Amino acid sequence: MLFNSIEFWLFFIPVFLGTHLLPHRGQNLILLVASYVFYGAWDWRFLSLIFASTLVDYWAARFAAPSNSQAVRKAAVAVSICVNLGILGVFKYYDFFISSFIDLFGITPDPSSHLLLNVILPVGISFYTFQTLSYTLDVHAGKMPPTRSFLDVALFVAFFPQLVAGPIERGAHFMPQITQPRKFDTSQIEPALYLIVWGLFKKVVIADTVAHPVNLIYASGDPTGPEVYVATALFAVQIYCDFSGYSDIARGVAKLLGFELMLNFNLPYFAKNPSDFWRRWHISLSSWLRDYLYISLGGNKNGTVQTYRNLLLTMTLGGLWHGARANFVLWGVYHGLILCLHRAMFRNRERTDAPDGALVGAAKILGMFQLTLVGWLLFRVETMDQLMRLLRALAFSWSSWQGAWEILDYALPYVLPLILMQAWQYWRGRTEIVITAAWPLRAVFTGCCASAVIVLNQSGGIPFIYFQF
Amino acid sequence: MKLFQPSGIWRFRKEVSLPRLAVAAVLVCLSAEGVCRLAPHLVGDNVHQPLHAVTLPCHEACDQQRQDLRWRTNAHGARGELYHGEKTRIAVFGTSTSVDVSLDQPKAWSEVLVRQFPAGSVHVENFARDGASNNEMEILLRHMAELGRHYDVAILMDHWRRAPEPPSRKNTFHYSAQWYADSGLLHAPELIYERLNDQYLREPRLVAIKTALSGLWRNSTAQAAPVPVHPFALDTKNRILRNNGTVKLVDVPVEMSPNRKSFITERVSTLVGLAKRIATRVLVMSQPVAYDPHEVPGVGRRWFSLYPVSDNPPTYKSDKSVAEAIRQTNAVALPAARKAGADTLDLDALIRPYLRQRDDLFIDKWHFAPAGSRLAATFIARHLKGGPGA
Repeated sequence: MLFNSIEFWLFFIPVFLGTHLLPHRGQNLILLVASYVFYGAWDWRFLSLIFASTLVDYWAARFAAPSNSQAVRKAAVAVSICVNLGILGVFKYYDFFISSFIDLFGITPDPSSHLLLNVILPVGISFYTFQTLSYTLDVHAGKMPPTRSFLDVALFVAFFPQLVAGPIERGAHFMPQITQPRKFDTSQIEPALYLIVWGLFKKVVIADTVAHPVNLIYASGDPTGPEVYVATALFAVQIYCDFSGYSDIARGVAKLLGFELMLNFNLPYFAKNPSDFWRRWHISLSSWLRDYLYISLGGNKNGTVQTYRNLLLTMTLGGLWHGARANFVLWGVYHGLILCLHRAMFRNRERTDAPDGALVGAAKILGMFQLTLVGWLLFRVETMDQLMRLLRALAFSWSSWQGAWEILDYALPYVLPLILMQAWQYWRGRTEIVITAAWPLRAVFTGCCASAVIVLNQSGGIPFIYFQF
Repeated sequence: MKLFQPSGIWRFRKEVSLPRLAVAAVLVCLSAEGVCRLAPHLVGDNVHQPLHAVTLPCHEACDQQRQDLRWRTNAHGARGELYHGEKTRIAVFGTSTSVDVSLDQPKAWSEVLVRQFPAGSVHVENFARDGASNNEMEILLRHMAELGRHYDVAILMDHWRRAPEPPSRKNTFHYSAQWYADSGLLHAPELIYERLNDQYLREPRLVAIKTALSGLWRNSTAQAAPVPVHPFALDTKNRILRNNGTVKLVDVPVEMSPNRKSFITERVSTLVGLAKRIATRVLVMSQPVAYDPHEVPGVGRRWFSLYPVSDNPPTYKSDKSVAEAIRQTNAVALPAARKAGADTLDLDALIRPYLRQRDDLFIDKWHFAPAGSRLAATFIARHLKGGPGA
C-alpha cells in the first residue's frame, strides 16, 4: 500500500477510529495488527522476518539490561547484531558480494548460477533492522529499560507509518510513546494535515513529474552536458521530494495517531558544508550511523588519522546501506572524502569565525549544492558505463543548451512551489511553517495541494524511491 | 476495564468554530477548483526525446531472443532517425501495429520501408503509439497542421474504436513521449491535463473538482472491482490456455451496428481531412489480422486474445469471429477513406493469402513478426511507387 493510493487511506480510516476510541492497550493492539496488515500487503511472506527480528530483539534487550552481568549483556547485543545484520546481509548483500568476488577474481567457469540466491529484497528491511538494533543498543547503553510487553516491542518494530522508509526511530525516543498512554489534543490535527498534504504534493506532483526528464536523460545514449547537469539537479529535487514527502506523510499519519516521529529532513539543500548537510539530510540515518557506528569506532577521540578513517568507514557503510551496488558505495566514499576534506580545511575556522553575511552564506549554500549534485550523479547511475557516459557529457558536450532549456521549462512550474516553500521555511527558521500562517491561507494551501495531488497525478502510482533500500 | 476510551481528538467538535470551518471549506473548494482549471494551462509539456535509444521490457511475446526492445526515437519524438534532407518525407500514424510494438528498431516496417527506396531518398517518422486511439491521431494531426508541418505521404492505420473515458495509462513510456516539431511542442494527448483541457473547452460549466473527483472515484472503483471470471483479454499466458484446449472458443454472429458504421465513417473522414492538411498524399491502410480459414496451424497458435462470450461456462470468441469483426471495420473504413479523397491500401487482403503457407508473419492476432513487417513494407513501398499490387 502506497501512501499516495486510495487503498491506504481507506485502510487508515478504521485504524484512526480504533486508535481514538480504544484504551491504551487496545490502541497498541490495533496498531500492531494494522502494521502487520500494512506490511503483509507488500508481501506476506516477509512478515516472518519482522517477527523473527522482533523476537530476537525482545529477548536480547531483556538480557542486555544493566541489571545483568557484563558477559550476558555483551552476548545479548552480539546476538542481536549478528541476527539482524545477518538477515540484512543475506537478503540484501549476499548476491552482490558473491558476484563482486567472482568478477574480481575472474573465476571460471562462472559459478554464480549455483551460488546466487536471487531473493527478493523485503521492503523496508534496512529501516526496520536498524530501528530494531537501536532498541537493543539503547537498552544496553542504559538509556532506557527493556520493555516487558512483547506486543509493545512488536509495535515498535512494525509501526506502519515509518516501517518501510523511516524515519528510523530510536528506542529511547519512540518506545516510551508506545509503552505510555498517549495524550492527544485537537491542536495536533492541523499540523498533521499540512504535513500529509504537503508530503503528498512533494511526492505525487513534484517528484513523480520531474522523474520523467531525469529518467530520459540518464537513459539517453548521447546526452549533452547541460542536459546531464539539469537532470542531476532535478534528481536532487526528485529524491528530496520523494523521500521527504514520505517522511512528512509518515509524520503526519503518526501525529494523527498520537505519535511524534523525529524530523528527518531539515532543509538539506541550504547546507553550507558537508557536515551541515548530514545534519539536515536523512537525519534519522545519519544520527544512527554517528551514534552507533562512528562513535563506537572511536569517533574523533583517537587522533586525526583515526577520525578520518572512522568518517570514511561510516560513510562508506552508509552508502552500502542504500543498496548492494557499486555506485552506492562510491557515493558513500565520496561523501566520506568531502567530510574529511572539510574537516581538514575548515574545522577550526568555523569555530572561531563570525556568522556569514548574506552573500557569503548564499555562496556557501550554492557551493555545497554543487558538491551534493556530484554525489547524486553517483547515486543515480546504475552502471559504471552509464557513469562514464554522463561524465564525458559533462566534460566535453556543452555545445547545445536547447534540451536543457526545455527540461527547465517543463520542470519549473513544478519546482517553483517547492522553492517558495523552502525559502519561507528557511526565512522563518522552522519546517512546520504552514501552521503559522493565517487560517484563510492555510485553507487555500490545503485546497491547492490536495487538488493538485488529484489532478496532476500522472504517475500511475510510482513507488517511493527509498522503498528499494 | 473500559472497552472504549475516546481520546482528546473528539473534543474538536466543541473547539472548532463552525462558521470558520464553513468558510475554510469554501476556500478549500474554490482553491481546488482553481487548481483544476488552471492546471492544463500552467503545467508544461513533457520534454522532447532527443535522439536516443530506449530499452523497453519485451511484452506481448516479442519474437526475438532478448527480453528487451531497442528503439531509437528522434528529436521529434517519432520512432525513426532524424530528418537529414531526404527528398520524400513519410509520417506514420496509428496504433501498435503501425509502430511495430514488439520489434527492434531496424525490424519495424516503417524502418524496413526506408530501405525499400534508394538510400537517402526517403525519410519515415513513425508517430504511432501502442494503445493510442484515433483521438490521439486527431490531436497529433491538428497540432502538426497548426505548426505547419508538411509531409509527402501520411499513412494512417487504426482500429477505429471509440476511445475509452478516461484515457488508459498502461504504458508510462508513452506517457512521457513527446513530439517536437520545428517551432513548437506537440502534445501527448493521453495525459490527464489534456483530457481536462478538452473537457472544459467543450463543457465550460463543468465543475472541475467534481470531474476530477469522479475520475478518481472511477479509477479506484475499477481497481477494487471483483476479479473477473475470465483471464485478462490480452494476457500472453492465454496462449497456453488456448492451445491446450482449456478455454472454449465459439463462433458468434458478427454484425456491425449502424451507429458503429457511421462512427467509423465520420472518424475516417475527419482524420483524412486533417491528414490532407499536413501531407500531399494520404494513404489509409486496412488493419491486417492473422486469420484465414485455410491458414497453417501455427498462425492460430500464436493468438492469445480472449474475448468473453459468456461466463458460465466461460466461452470466448473464436479467431474467425474476431477476425471477421476487424475485417468488417476495414470494409467500412477503406471506402470512407476513398470517399474523403485518400488513397487506400488493403494490406490485410494482400497479406492474408500468405497465411496459408507461413506462420511466421505475426506474433499474435495483429502484430507483425519480423517476416510480416518485411512483407508489409514491401507491399507499402510497391503501392507508393505505383507498381503491381498497388
